Amino acid sequence: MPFDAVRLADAAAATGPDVVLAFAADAANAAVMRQALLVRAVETSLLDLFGKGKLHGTIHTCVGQELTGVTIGANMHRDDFITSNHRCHGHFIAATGNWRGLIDEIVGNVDGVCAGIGSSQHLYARNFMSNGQQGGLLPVAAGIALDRKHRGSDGIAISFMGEGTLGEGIFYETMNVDSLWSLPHLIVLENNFYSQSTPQAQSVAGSIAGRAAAFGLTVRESSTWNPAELATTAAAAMRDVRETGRPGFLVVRTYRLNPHSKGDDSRDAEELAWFGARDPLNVVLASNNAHRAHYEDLLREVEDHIQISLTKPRLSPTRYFTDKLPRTGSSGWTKVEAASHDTRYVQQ
Amino acid sequence: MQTAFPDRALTTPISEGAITGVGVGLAVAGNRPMVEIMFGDFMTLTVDQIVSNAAKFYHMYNQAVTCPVVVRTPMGGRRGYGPTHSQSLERLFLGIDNCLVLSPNALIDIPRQLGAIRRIETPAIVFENKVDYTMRPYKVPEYYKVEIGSAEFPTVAVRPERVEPTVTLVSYGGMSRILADALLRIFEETDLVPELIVPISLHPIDLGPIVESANRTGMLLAIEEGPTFAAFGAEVLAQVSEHAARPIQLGRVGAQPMPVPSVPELEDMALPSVGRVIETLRGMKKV
Ligand SMILES: Cc1ncc(C[n+]2csc(CCOP(=O)(O)OP(=O)(O)O)c2C)c(N)n1
Repeated sequence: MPFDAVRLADAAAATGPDVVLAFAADAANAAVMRQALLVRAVETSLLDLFGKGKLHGTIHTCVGQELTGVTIGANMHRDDFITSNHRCHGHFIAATGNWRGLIDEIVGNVDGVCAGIGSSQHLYARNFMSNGQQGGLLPVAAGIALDRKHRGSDGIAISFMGEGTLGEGIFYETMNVDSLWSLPHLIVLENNFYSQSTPQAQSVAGSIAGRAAAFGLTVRESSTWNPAELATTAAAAMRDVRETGRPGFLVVRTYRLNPHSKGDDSRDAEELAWFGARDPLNVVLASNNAHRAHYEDLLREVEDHIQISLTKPRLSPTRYFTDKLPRTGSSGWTKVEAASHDTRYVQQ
Repeated sequence: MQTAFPDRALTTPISEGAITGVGVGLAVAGNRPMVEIMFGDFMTLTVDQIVSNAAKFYHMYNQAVTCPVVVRTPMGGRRGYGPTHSQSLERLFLGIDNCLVLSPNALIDIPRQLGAIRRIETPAIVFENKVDYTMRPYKVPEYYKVEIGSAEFPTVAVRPERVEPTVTLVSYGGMSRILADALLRIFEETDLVPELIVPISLHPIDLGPIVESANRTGMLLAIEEGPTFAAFGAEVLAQVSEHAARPIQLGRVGAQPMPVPSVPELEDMALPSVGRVIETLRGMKKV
């Protein structure tokens, strides 16, 4: 084959449609499958809306990667907290179920989860935050994990990142702190083999798993092409972090079927088709009638909400343009004693 | 602190970005963390956490969360530590939306200056000055008194008691103590009666006391330890020009715009001194 990502994604080749179909047919996995299809319905509808010029700004969709987020979401406890990155819609729906608030956010109306202020990559909920800078929320998640640890809660912090973000130093600083302080922090690396247009071979040297192992994190690996194995591995990774209070690292190999954001795709068409044909949700939609019927219902439900969303009002400026800085503006003076402390004992 | 709160005062690795981020995470989770960066020069490594996280969350997340993380750090030279351990980088951190910048001084006791820090709802950077850690108690010069204003982080004024001031000096942090110790010398060598206005909050600026004093004296000199380009003094001058009730003669004194050298004589020349303040005042014409 002419393209390199396929060689890297040997996991995709190692499983086949039978594995995926068996997973989808098992009633025990219905919730995960339905949520994955919901994420896909939202993402494809949003891309469609962009195509029609009805949205402004940008989005990064997770079409092809849905199973990672929803599998993690299925194992969350009430006190768990997710931090995520630009490609966060699926993670957000998995953590909160609030897909309508997400659509409102991206459409930019006042009912959006953040009233439309941040749009696609700046989402917040009681148990979730995403931000636009690669790696920037990793130490924040460590701080939240430290909070859970101090309060004796069973909550853990979970951070999603892409493999392109392995280039950020803050990732290594955070793993070191996680491990030194025994923080309940699970870092989930979604390896889709590209950071925007840069193939992994040009941005990541050496071993991905080895990097986390070197800091003493428990490393597990899986892929979205084997949903059953992903479910077991992700559940084990979360349970481990919760029970031992030690950090973990979960690498999920996956593939993004859509452009990085809206139209920026320089990948080989043959490669895209190869992964498209092996995409677990595509496989299920092609031959599981019940899931396909459900997916079509979801598309209609999403479309209905989009129509409502487009008519909702925008945030009012008076609500937005306020701050919480302490008030300045001295009026009146009080005579005081000069400093009485002798600070000469302080050593530098 | 480590003895009193062994599980709350944490020994950290040398990871300025990560420990600031951990502080941000603790704050978001409802705590009041304080992050200490050992040298202010290395605040450069905390910028992403402050600018893209701490300062953004409140507005970006539609006021659903506040992030009252405090980052404290010592700045300044005059100790021969050389280019990477002597800087005053305050100007790089001034004017970050929603981020408070405070600078305590060695003129009055610290609880009076920073007591409100327990109540803040925004991130705050506290720039201290290394030399202020080595100070004797401040001895107010004869004929002067010390007052504080009523803002949450009060402005300190060292004012002449019996005569009207004829020049306003605005300074903060370590530089303010150097000037406060030299008020009588400045008077003797310039024939101007200085009034020293020392804000503790550098962002936002407590402008009232500065403008009020400038309106009375008609002459204002802003003095800071770092370089003057796009710095605190520049902002003071701009705001005074916008808001003063009369034309004010304005000037600035700061460091030379190059790295602070370790050679003692050159370090002295690089950083602002009382001598340079006097020289500048002599060159300024009253309007
Ligand atoms: C610190 C930082 N640098 C650059 C960018 C611009 N940017 C946005 S997404 C992206 C690629 C990210 O790749 P990866 O981490 O692999 O995630 P993926 O897009 O594949 O999900 C880049 C470089 C950014 N958001 N943050």
